[in-house]
Amino acid sequence: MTDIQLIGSPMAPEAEEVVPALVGAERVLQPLARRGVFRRLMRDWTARIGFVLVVLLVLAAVLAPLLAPHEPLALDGGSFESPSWSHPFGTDRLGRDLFSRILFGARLSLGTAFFASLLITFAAVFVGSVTGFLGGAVDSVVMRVVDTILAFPSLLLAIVVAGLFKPSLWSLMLALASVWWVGYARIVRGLVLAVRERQFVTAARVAGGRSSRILIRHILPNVLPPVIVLATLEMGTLILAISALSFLGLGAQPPTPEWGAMLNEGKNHFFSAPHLMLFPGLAISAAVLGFNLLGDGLRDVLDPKS
Amino acid sequence: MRQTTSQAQPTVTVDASTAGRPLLEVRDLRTEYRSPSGIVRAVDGVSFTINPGEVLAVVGESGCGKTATALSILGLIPRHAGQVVGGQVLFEGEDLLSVRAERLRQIRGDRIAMIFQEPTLDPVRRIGDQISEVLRAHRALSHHDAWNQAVEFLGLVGIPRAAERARDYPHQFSGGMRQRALIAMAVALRPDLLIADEPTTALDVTIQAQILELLLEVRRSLGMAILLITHDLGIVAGFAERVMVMYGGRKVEEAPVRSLYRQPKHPYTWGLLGCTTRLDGNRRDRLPQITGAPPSLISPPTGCRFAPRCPHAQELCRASYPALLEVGDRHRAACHFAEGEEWGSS
Repeated sequence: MTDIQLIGSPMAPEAEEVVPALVGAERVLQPLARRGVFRRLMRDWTARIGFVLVVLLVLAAVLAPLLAPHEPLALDGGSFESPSWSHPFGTDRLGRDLFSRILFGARLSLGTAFFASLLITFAAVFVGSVTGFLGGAVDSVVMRVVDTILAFPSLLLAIVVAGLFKPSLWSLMLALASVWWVGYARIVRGLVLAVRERQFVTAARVAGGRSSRILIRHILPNVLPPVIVLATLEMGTLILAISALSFLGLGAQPPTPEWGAMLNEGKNHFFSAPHLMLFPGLAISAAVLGFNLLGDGLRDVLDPKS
Repeated sequence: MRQTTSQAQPTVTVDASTAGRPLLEVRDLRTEYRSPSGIVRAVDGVSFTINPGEVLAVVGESGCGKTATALSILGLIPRHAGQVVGGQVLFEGEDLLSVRAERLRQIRGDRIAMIFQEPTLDPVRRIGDQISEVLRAHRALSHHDAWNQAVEFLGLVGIPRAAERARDYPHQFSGGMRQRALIAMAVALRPDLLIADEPTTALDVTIQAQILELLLEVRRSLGMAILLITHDLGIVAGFAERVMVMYGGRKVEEAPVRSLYRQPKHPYTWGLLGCTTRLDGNRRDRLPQITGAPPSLISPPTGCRFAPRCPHAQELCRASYPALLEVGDRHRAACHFAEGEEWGSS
């Protein structure tokens, strides 16, 4: 290799060896599985804590029937028993085992938050990408609607929507999803606008790609990493919102072992039996903390500037 | 180019119906961009032709309308930024400015392809998939066949171990290799015209030479015409057959390469040539430069647009825009004093 390479001959081996050093911002957007996202995530101890918390909660939710020492609705203890070996978190007014109720409550809180998050993400990605990609009148009209919804405090609006239905976790989930998606649609639209202007999108157009295909094959995969981060951070907020609305009596109804509803039941006995509020409160905190730490960690790992 | 010689025969076939007709004929193209300070006439009445298999270079400074011309041809001026306001772009007699969107989509990529200055590919998709996708957008190919053709073309453009590297993601390629991959993507459908917009500007000088050679090689084996857009007259000489010089959104000179380099008729062209470093020059001389900046295309100067920067400008130049006149064999220039002047003498 003393000379300039001639026509079309394979590139010098040196050039290939340089490649790993040339990885730039684009590396970040490569599909997650191939990039050791998990390994890099685990290097950060706060993300590790978040991950462990989330895994524990998910395990608790999935394995609740196996782990729970008692039926969550069975009245098989004395009233207001303090924590003991047979009732690790004590019992409530009706003698139900609090530990078992919290395990089953994980199913409800995580499940509801997860499906709400899924609904929100789908709605936001759909609306955000279509408006961002098409622009023009569609964009203006939809974004004005979004602005209008954003002008209200979202929790208040969710209370109004939930109030329209018979209180249940399902109506709560739909109420939350129906007001929560707007902010995310805005963010997704912004991300799509940024990707749309990148040259590989023009190149795909020059190559005769159809718009629908360009959107699905080129733009969406490129906005996915931040959307994943958002959805994770959103889980924490949603768990909190679900508990809050259930605490206010708009979501899960007694005897459903939902954490917020349990807080509500315990609040009248706070001074005599503080464990009734302590343990559901801790469960909510652990869930929110877990998803926030995990989301933060994911953001650092998926951040193009890292 | 081992693979090329064995399989791809030159495909310059000029059938009876298209004989003698230019491949692309641009007539009086006008493109405007909107800007906060007013309408920018980026392309202001440009006409030119490209014959099948020909290489035409479009030369000029930044902001003189080269890229806007290319984007206008393919209908790629973003709607929110501007629009083509006049003229015709006849591709084999079909006006691309008035065809339906679906027809334009069919022509893009298949008949006319384009490569850009920045070698950017979609960062989240494998190189091979991206090339296959272009093939499948225009041909009824199975995923497997498209992939094999993609690998074949990657080999053709000089990517070693193409079958393996097709599975790589863009960040695993160097800039030069990415530009090669983009060339593979552009020529995979054997287009009749390749528009190359500053294809080497973002690359190292050594890679530049390789990429230009590669383009010529691909052209030889696939027989397509090339519209090369560049600001570097230095790379034009060995590459193009004809050169068109643009200034201020207009064509100021057009000539076969030889006659342009030997006898530049427009003082702007002369200035551009003067800016090129010469190995045989006096080393103590300062590199000449064209003083000043290109004219504002929002309110261009009346008269010759180059007049404010032209060392030879006269009253006439400031008063009226010179017509594009024949000044030699297939050599035209838009200068009041193009005939018989030797600009180098001053």
